[in-house]
Amino acid sequence: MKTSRHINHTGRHKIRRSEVQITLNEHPQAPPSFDASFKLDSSKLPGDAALYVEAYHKNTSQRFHFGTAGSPIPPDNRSLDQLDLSGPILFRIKVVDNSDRIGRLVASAERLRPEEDEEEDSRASLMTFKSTDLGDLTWKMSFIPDSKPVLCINNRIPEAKEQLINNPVFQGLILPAALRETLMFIFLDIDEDDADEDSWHKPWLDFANFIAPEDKPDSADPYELNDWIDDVITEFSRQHELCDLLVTRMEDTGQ
Amino acid sequence: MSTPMRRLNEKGLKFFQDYIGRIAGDEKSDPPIAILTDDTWSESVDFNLEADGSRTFTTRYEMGEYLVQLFDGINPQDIIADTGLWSWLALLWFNQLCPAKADGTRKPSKPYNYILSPNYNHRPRHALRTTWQLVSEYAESAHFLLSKGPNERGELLEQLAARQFFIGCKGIIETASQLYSDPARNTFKVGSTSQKRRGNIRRYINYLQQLELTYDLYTLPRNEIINMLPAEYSGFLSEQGNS
Repeated sequence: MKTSRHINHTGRHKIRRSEVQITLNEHPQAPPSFDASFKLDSSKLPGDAALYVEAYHKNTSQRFHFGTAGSPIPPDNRSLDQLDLSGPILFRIKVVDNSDRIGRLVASAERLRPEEDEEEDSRASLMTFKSTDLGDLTWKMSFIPDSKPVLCINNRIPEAKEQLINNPVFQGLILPAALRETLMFIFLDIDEDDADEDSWHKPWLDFANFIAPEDKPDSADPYELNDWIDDVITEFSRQHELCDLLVTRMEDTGQ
Repeated sequence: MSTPMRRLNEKGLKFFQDYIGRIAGDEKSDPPIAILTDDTWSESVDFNLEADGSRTFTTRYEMGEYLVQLFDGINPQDIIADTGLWSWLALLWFNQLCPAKADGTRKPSKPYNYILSPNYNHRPRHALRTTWQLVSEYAESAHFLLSKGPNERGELLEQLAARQFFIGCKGIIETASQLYSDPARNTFKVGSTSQKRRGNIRRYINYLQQLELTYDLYTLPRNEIINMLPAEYSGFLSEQGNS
């Protein structure tokens, strides 16, 4: 049974991004917490409907009861201590009928990001950056629908973002692999040559096409696509002298 | 014989993990239960409880009942993420979770079935923690998921636990219990996991994924879900009436 993502036979309202403000609060040695404030359009919602915020990442979620749509009240404990924190945290908002048709979604919003992630995502960059708990993993790429790829670096690495911007060792070892993984993901995620103009895939493909010595093969053959991605990364590495700069840094630091 | 409850420390967790790796490679050896009480490998916990390592369980549900009794009065949030504690308990009853075969070898599952994993995708696979959570939350309604022997996980739990949000929704579990429990057999109904039978557990999961587009599954009570179920579930529902 294929599940449609566009069912709305119960007249569910869509909560607009501008009606919710979510901020993440980082705490040293403790899971992050969040704040949420609402400017819900009360003309469309029954005031006594229950209001929930669900934070989620991949297969884990944590749910918080914020009172009612007419009178949101934040719970005291908003610690995200039961969530997989290895990637970007998203939020969904649910306004739920508790009187007439119990459990019916009166209104909802999906895939909301905290304000700071929204701001970073709106910048003119191909990916965003997140320092987070990755256990023993040093870094990884994280892909979530409708958002730029996120380069996650283990938060135990001191000044990770600065290292990535300024340290040729970090750049040389991470960026080519991150670029490869993202291009591979794009080809898994989209139909051939069907990158939506508004999606994050389009600027990535434009960027890769701009760098690539040859146009992307007009083929879904994985071997040809892999060769093309190889060419893109080789050229990217050449233009930014990634290996030369890495070796120089190692020599300078006596390694 | 009851043993004061403890938690494995970093060295103990590694030792346990190495042991699982060795027996997966056909080494014939007993579980290293000596580390359960040795300060080198384990440490005390903040509460005074004793677990009976010699107690025999015929089903996972029985294990869950025992754990619920054991942890009565303990704040669940204090233990739910305690990797050392859950791994200690798994080692305590390892002979039941992973029994030796006649030739002395064992066939362990992945280590995260015994050692609580830092990977959230694997956490629901822990043999004891998930069992305790289900019995603690749903009591008899979780029996159909835990009716096999301690060393068996079962397809029903596999399917539901793969969607972690679902096992936190009371209405979903109670509905599944009404659909698939067979009190006469004291386990689940024949055909619950068969992909050929209409209304099987996979179809139920698919249906829930559709339902959650328009309903808050956490809020939906069992009777509301039952009323909305498509006709394909009538077979399982009517069978309930006969058993």
